[in-house]
Amino acid sequence: MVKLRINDREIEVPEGTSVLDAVFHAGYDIPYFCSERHLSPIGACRMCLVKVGTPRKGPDGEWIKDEDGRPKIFWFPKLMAACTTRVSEGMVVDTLADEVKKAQAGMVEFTLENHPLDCPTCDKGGACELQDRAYEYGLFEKYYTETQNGLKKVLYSRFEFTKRHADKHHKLSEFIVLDRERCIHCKRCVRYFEEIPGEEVLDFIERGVHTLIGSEEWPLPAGFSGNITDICPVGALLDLTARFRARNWEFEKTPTFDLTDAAMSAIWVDSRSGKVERIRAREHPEVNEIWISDAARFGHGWTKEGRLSRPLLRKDGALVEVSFEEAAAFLSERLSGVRPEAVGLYLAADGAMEEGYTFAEAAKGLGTAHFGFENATRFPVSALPAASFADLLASEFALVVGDPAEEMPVLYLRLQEFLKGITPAPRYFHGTPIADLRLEERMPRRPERLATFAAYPTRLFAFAGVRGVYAPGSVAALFEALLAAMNGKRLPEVPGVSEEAIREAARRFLEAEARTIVVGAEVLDDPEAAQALSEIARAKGAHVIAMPPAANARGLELTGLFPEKGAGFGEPGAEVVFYYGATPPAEALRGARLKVFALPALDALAKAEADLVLPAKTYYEKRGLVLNAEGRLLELRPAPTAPASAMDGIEALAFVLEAFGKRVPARSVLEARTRLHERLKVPLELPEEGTLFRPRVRLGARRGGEGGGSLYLRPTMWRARMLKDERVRRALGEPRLYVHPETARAEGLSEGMRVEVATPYGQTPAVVALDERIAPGFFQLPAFGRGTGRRVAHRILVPSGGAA
Amino acid sequence: MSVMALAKALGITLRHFFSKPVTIPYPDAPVPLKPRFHGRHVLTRHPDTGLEKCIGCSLCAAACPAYAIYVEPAENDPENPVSIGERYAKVYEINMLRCIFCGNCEEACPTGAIVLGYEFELADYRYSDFVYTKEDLLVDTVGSKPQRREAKERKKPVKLGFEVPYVRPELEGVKYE
Ligand code: SF4
Ligand code: SF4
Ligand code: SF4
Ligand code: FES
Repeated sequence: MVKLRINDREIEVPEGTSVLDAVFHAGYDIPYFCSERHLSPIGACRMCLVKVGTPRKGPDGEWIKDEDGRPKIFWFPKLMAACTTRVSEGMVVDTLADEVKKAQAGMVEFTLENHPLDCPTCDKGGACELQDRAYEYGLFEKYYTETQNGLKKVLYSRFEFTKRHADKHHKLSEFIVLDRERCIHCKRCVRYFEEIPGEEVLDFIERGVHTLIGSEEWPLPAGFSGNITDICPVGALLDLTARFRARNWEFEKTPTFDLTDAAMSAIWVDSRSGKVERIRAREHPEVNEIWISDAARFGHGWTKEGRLSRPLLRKDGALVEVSFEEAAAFLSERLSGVRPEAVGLYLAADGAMEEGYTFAEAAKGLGTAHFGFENATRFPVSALPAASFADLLASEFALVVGDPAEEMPVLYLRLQEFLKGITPAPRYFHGTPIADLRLEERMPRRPERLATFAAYPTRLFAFAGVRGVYAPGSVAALFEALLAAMNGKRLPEVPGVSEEAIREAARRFLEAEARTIVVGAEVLDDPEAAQALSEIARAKGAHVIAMPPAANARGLELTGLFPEKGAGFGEPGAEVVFYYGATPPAEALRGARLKVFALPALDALAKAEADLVLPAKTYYEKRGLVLNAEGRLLELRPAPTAPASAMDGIEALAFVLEAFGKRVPARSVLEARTRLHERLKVPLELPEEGTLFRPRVRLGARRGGEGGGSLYLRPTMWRARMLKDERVRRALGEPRLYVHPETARAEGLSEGMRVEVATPYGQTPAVVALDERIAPGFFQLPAFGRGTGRRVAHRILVPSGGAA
Repeated sequence: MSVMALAKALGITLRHFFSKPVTIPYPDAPVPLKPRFHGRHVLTRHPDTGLEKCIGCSLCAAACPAYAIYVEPAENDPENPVSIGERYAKVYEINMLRCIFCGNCEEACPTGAIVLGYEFELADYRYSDFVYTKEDLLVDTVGSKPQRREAKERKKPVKLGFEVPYVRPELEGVKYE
């Protein structure tokens, strides 16, 4: 610890702290633009200038004293940038001196000099760091001078000068627009791309006043690009999905969690007039820091399209709006005489634990074995011990099987930290350090810390010391081979992966002191592979972070919604089915006599098959508990965007059960939570940042459902429902059907050919892309959250004239 | 009480009885208003291009102490702009029942788009009729909603119940015949 004085306060901070953080830690404020949490401090904006002095040691090794016998303070000859200055013992910092104030006001004026007067039309207005700093530290008072008659005369005005002009509407992608006039050259966006997702795409072009932000690439690589709109201190980089939707102070801001993937990043849902208009990252230091994926940020358009506000009933083949009374009457008529054991109750992957509990209890009450949740894996993820992202950062070696960049994007960013060897920063009075001096531009990644295997070359391959592409379906063989290599036995063959790679991965794994294994949906869907993985983790000692394809898989499994025997989500078997929040593949409805859905909006399957559709809420609109991949219990808070009559899972289920004349396990979220509290010791009150909740669960793997077709569904961070949004479709382009050139030749396909692929989830157009790095004999198509990591049967239809 | 006093008082009454009355037989005669009267708002246009001055910035709504204003902006089509610049007000509504005619919106407006005019005859029957939308506020519209409704029914021009010596210059483009 280092002792120093900030103005009048003596504080103690850890060694290596920047003066900027020390000032904030002491409870004082100084303006800054270029520093940002988790980015390297570079001292570009000169906004944080302060007066700094230190005592000095004489040749005798003693402090040089002043007249009073105290260590004499030697002030630095010029003001220092607080963000790049390290604290030292006995340092004295003055942030209130006149020269500091003058420097701050001067810097604000310099920054404003070329800043356009766009505030009224700028989407950042009202939440703009430049506006705030200009207001707090600008020259406002000194604009005017008193004349003799007591009137004030304008001395100097920001409006007098000719400003620099530059491109005002420069789209960087379908989601982000750059206004070059507004840029204040803080370099946060440039550093972000290099330091956080590890892709250098933006940079400064030209010098001096002509400097502008530019990129060689169009569009910016999708995945993590949206975060720059959060960190840009001004309105130079803005979110196009929220363009001109409202001013910042008009949004209803709801702090909740994202359920696109199982990491469950903290988000702000900004809504207005009952519509979700914008999603922003919210800080959760242990989960997503201050970043979220593009899918989580830009993929909210579906919540606005075709929202249902009343039940839809099929009459003469068409779905028509009816009253709730009529829907209830229809249900009780059609449900009378139905055997309760033949009813199937299914919940979406983003259902809350309270909903999961109600569904599981209702199924128990009915005595049916048909229940489950969307995207449940065959091996229950809760059978694997949970580990935190902090455990990953504390490890020395990571073995990744799967594609974190798509399956759990936030984990991919944490893996980047791991590769650079960054450990969690100390927490200050103001939270995360703003200028963390341990961070630098272009920090080397350490590939020797990472081995990764996947069914195709993932984004992580560029950073891994050991990598291999296996043929889809051989994860079990891969883990067995790894185990054999660790035990010095003969290796079974793993299609596509060389023996060397496996031996090398096993050797590095054993050499490391602390290890983490990250596995994706494909492993969880293969009980043999998951068994072998547990074996390795137990015998050799490793943390396991599993990336289940269902966001709330851990939470829902815990409530007992994991089916052991009956027909699960998406499997045929039940005579009467009730699906809440998601629709299954058409195949699952085979043999069902009555099909009831509760959905936020109709989709193709519901349009074609449903007998009754109830209006449902989206996860942005629900209250409830969720458990993320780390086993962290979090609480969802509802944004005020649901149509008044939209039902959550508990209400919708109660509606159906009542019409059936059966007992309703719980009628409200609160009631269900109380039951969960009694049953599982789930806390009733949660802190804002959630709490680790990792009870032991005994669940067995499910049999059957291996699939085994030759179409492999690649994980994607985007979900099928997000594709309803025209902008998302434009950004993603047409889905690609990846094939090995050999297979393509055998099948008569060529690069760029347009085809239609019929999958269990429907027919989709695709463009053939040849890739010789993937295993021959397979086709690979983006899953969009349905059947992630599975192999399914398919047919490829070549429309006439489909050749490139 | 003396007779003198009685005569004096009666004298005042008699004098006023024969002088010109100060009361105005409204609605038969117009009310004379001062040029800075605060009446129903007007959304003005740029006189040269005809484009709306309003850029949909919501600052009027933010300044309004009565929360009477609702603005929903949208992006201009560069080929066919509604206003100058990138942004315009797609929806602009003032709830005249909430408005206290303080003029803060006019003060806050960076473009001089929203200006308080003179019309005060806003009485109507239904709540929803007090919500004035863009078409009721834009500069060429003369008369309040009930006045225009009546004029349409009777197939006569709107009859305004006031007169001003001159229209203040902020009300750019506003004319009263
Ligand atoms: S675009 Fe924004 S984040 Fe990037 S340098 Fe300019 S002001 Fe900074
Ligand atoms: S005049 Fe005052 S009360 Fe009326 S809309 Fe304007 S700001 Fe609001
Ligand atoms: S009237 Fe003026 S203040 Fe109100 S939205 Fe339009 S431009 Fe902004
Ligand atoms: S120089 Fe920009 S924050 Fe210090």
